[in-house]
Amino acid sequence: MRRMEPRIGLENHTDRPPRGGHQVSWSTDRIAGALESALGRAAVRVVLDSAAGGDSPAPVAWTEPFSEEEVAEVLRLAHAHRWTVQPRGAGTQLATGNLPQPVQVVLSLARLHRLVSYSPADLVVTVQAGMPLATLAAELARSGQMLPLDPPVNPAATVGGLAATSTAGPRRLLYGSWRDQTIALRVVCPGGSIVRTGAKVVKNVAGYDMTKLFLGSFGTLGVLTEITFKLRPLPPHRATCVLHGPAGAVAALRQRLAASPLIPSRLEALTPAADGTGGAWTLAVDCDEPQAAASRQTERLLQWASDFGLQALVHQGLAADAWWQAWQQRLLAAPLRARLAFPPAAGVAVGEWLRQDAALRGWDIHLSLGVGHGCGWLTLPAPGQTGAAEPASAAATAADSGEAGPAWLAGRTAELAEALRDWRETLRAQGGSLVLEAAPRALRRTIDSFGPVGSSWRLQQQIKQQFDPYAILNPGRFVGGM
Amino acid sequence: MSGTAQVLDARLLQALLQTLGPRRVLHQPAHLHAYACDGYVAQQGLPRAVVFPETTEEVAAVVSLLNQYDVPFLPRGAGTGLSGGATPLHGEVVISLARMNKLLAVDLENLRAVVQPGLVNLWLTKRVAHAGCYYAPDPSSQSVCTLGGNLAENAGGSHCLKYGVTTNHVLAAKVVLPNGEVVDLGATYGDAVGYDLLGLLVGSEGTLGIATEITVRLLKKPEAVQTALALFDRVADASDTVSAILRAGIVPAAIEMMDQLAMQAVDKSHYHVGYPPDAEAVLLIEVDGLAGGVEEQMRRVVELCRQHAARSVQVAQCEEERALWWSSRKMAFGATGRISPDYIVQDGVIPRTRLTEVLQYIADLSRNSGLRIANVFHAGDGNLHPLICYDARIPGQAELAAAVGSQILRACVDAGGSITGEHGVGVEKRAEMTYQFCDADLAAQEAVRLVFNPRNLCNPGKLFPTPGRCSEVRQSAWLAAQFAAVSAGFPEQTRILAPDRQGRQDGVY
Amino acid sequence: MASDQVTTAAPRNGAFLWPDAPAPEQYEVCVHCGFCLEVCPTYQEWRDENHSPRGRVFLIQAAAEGRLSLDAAVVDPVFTCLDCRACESVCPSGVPVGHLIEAARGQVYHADPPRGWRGALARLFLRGLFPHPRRLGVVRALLRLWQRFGLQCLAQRLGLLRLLPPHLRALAVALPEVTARPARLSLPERLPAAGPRKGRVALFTGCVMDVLFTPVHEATVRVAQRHGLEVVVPRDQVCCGALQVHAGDRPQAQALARRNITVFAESGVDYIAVNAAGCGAMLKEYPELFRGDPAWHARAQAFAQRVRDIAELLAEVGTEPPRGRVPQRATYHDACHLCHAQGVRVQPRQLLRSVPGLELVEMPDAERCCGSAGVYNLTHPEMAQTLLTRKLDDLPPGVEMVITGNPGCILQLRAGLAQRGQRIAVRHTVEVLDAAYQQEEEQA
Repeated sequence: MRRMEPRIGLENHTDRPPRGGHQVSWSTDRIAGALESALGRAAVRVVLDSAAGGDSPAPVAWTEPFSEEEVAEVLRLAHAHRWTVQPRGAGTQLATGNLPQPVQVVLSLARLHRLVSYSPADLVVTVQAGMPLATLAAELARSGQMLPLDPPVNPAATVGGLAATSTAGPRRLLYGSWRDQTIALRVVCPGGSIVRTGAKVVKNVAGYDMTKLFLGSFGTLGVLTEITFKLRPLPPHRATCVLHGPAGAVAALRQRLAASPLIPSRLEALTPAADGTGGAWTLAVDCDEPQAAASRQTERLLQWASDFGLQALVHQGLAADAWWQAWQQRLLAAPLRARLAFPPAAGVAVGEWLRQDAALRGWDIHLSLGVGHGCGWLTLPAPGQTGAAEPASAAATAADSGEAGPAWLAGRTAELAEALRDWRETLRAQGGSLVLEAAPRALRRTIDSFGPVGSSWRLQQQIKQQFDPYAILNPGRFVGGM
Repeated sequence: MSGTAQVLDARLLQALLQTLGPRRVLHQPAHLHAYACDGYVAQQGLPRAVVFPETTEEVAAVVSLLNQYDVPFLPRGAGTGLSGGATPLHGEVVISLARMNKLLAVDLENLRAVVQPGLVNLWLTKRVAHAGCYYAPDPSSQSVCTLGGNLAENAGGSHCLKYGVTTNHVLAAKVVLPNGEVVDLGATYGDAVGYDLLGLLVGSEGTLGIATEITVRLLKKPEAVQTALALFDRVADASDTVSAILRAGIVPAAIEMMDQLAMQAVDKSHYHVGYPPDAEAVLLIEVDGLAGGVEEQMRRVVELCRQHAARSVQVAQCEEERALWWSSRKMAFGATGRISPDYIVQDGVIPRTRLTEVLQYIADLSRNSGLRIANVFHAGDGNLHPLICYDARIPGQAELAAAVGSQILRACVDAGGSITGEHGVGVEKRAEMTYQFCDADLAAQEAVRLVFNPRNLCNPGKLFPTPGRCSEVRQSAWLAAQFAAVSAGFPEQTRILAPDRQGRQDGVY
Repeated sequence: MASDQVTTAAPRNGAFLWPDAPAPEQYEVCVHCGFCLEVCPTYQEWRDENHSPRGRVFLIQAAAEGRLSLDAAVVDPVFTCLDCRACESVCPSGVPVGHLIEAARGQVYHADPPRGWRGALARLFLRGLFPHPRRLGVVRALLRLWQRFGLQCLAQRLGLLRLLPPHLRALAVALPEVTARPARLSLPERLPAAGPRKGRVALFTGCVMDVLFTPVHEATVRVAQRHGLEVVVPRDQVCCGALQVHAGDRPQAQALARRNITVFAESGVDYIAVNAAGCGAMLKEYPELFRGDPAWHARAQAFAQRVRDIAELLAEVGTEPPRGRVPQRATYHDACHLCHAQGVRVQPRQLLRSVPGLELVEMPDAERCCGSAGVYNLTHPEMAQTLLTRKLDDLPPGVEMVITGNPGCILQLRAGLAQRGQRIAVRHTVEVLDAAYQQEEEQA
């Protein structure tokens, strides 16, 4: 095979150090100084950061560029001098992915939070990566539109951070995930070159679909600075039909729903039941169709619920929003959260099996399974935890850093890792997966967050090599420790 | 045709014959001509050979052999692509996947199907229709085009406004890489672990590898469908209606538009609807979903059409009527053969709100160049398909048509859009890639190609801009300017759009 | 655009050196969209572009424009074509693929006339036999001898039939019983309409049709008469020439066409009724044979305008539903030259649906060729057999009868069913109608 020339990382800079030459070891202060002289004082400071890789808070050069050019400048310098960089949005997804190696620079996108362009009649919006998803949602709602992505995240989470981790929610059933809604990106690659992908129109097949490469890449190939989404009209009518009952009845209703022409926009099966009414499972069903159709759907669901002996409750409008808000809080509060993929038709059965297997191992896991599309979450609430609590991700990074793990894990880290590995294998055998979204550091040290990559591993490595040859971006965080 | 066939190494031929048997290797020059091009005929070349593997292992074996002998190759489905993606310009060995047309597995419970790449798009839908399911992406050529070709081109269709394009429906694939290695990309459920390499493969126009098993998502057929046909006296009114519908919070399954010349062409074909000759535009609008909601939405759609000066709005009363309207739309490209000996179909995309002005620009270009341009397009997506009519027998017209096409794409990019929405770059729009992407953008794409296809044996010379072609386009742009100067005093556009009974316009031919 | 005379007066440069070459305005219409691929029976089987309509047109054009010589590259695909015209039905730009194929075969016929025993056999049938009614009479007599005096049974018993290749063996067994005289001679030259006269129609009797299917002619005449049509049977008519055109022997076909045009012009009828789809398509396409000959072209057009398939004609003049019953479960197979070449699909079904008791169920892909395709089942037995198998596999469960409108299809289907030992009748549309009317009369 001919030797490949790295193309992206090496462009647009002149002060390239000699290849294989002596690697200068840079102190944090020196790095900050160098960055300061390039970007100005306002954009750089040295802080103690607990999430930049090390087990204990360590000093990092914290840069907060004012513009995309400055982001490019940071990456140009970092690439040239092999500084390791962690791009960061609101820092809500730091517990996701493998434990990173310590980094020298944190590149915050907090100041790149503008709405770049929004044309409601085109159903297309472009925002900077640092804009919180909640802010964008509010802006779109004013024009009666939405970005139909509803990941269970802290409201501060930025679109850039979420796109980089590709965190989706229950609406994925009807609208798909980030890869389905994102149509264009601006990305700064190591070396400082600014790459545009896609086009700001809903259909585009010019060249490779590079947008997809960067989504879900955990900031290991480049730093997203601008994202363009296609949008949907805000559903005119919001109603959530919540059904409680035993597994068999929930599975039967799910099957009848799947065979029917109904169009649920969210179809989430929860166990144990969400509101402690006694049933083992809860099934929450949303409909985003026009009013007349949505009402008919609800009617039919209620009819079926009574056929199968399920308790039913319908939440309308703000009450429906509140229900999903509470659902999100419960997910986020758990100190361990794993994203699951599984055959949707077998969702309830898979869930039952997981619950039982976990119980045998002495763990009381909670599940929220998208039984329409086959994605969901497994959570392990801390003992004694009830209802909403502080989002776990922040806690996970700081408090859980000890070798033995947090107190609630009571030294059973290895056991839990073993269980997760077994569950992962079971899901993989059915075409699914298990990926840790939030976990104590001790656990992340024991088990790979992502699991095996499979036969594409060589390609994955070479992609990384092409875009970030010196592995300066988020080292160690992604699959296989990339 | 570009010269004679490149010679196939005798030992390679022996090895191919040994791998596939004599009936699945075409190598005599006489049998290669039919593979000189796909649906895009402007450039042609002879392959060294055509092979018909039937399994992943055979594809891998063939690809490994070709690597061993340093021979370029390209995959081909039904050869209906419109940008020359399957055209062997460098004596490639054509790997025809047409015989790999099995439906390998269907899981109706989980709405998944696993297919071989040569399976025809519509067949998949036919095979799962009994269970009320279908495969959503529906390019106009769906009755013949293959799912492998759809994957390579990231094919769209009329219903992608609501349901998305191929990439939104392909979940996993077994892929023979350009070095013969076999890898699995994507995941049947949820997200694949690692970089989204499947996302790169879909739409890579056969330059990153050959998918040999494809897992796709199936959808349930909607409970209700309603289709409306709205005629407009002015193109601008039709464009405004499109924006108004979307702005009103309605996402129809499809909004298609045809202009006067396109209507005339299809009315000459087997799919005669009987469009009034003086209507300037027709919109075909389809809404689907749950029964009650569909009626509600269709009422709004009809209302909005009326508000925007539609001359008439009809809602299809039976399946036959709906089918005829759709056939008339889907056959429009081919039907252009009835009004012009040759045509180029372009595939630019623009923001939907800029339809009116870009269509006006195209009309001006048509007047200035003297070439008739029919417009058939996915209005809801802003995906234009200007059909530039010309006669290759008139010296200079082919170049002029190419130049006009290029100018239209430029205008699309200038309006904030793309040079191609679903047909791909292929050989046709390589030069125009530089309209949309700068060097850094292209370098990133090149980096991806280097990873998958480092020896550039797999469909070389496609998708990426080449300097040679740029100068060609510049030359034809110059030609177009000359022509525009000459034809400045050309008769009114309305006359251009109203050909005589033979479908020819006085003075044009 | 050039008119007919300009394009065909002189052959273009290229591989087509003889008159009557494929017409540029016919192949240039092809935009290479490929919509024809999936309906082409040979492409469906081989999935090779060479053997697809688009591929064939492309090769014909390349040969016409001198980029290919008239060698195997062009000849093979042009002759694997079934000439079933399925591609024409889906072609958005209206490429007359059949005409192009036939014209190309004409060029091959000139360039490389069939030689050896195959050539001799082709000449024997296409020039020596079919065009000559009297010689066909001799064949009829021999066939009758074969059938009536038990020779067929004897041959079967002695295993003599095994000397034939399998596909011919099946056909030989499937041959219907031959009547003493052809309809052309047995029927009166003029048969009055029953009731008020709606029109005057000449029956086209054909060659093979009138040897093997004389009863179908008789049924046709009875049904026509019943619906107010006066029927004439011109004695001097000859074979339509379709088989010759398929084989590329256009001069012979032109000679036959001239004769028929003259004979039928003299008969002074409103319609020319045909009950063989292949003949009907040929007669309607006579003008195509005379593209280079303005005078005959005009006469051929006048002739062609009066040609109707019998189902088409009955639908046009209107029928009264029969009261007799044909209580059978049946399916209708669209003969290629009826549905694709003549666009007649609805009328036969309407007629059949009017028959009380007849349960008509649709078969999938009813319009796909059964493999008969003129003499294709003799020249390309392997492909013909594949298509026949697919066709028979597609027959809906429980059907007792297959109905179609072409003698070739009837023979082919009967042969296939006999091979499989399936007891399913194969009937012509008009036979079924006639049976219903006959029964009605018996009841009365």
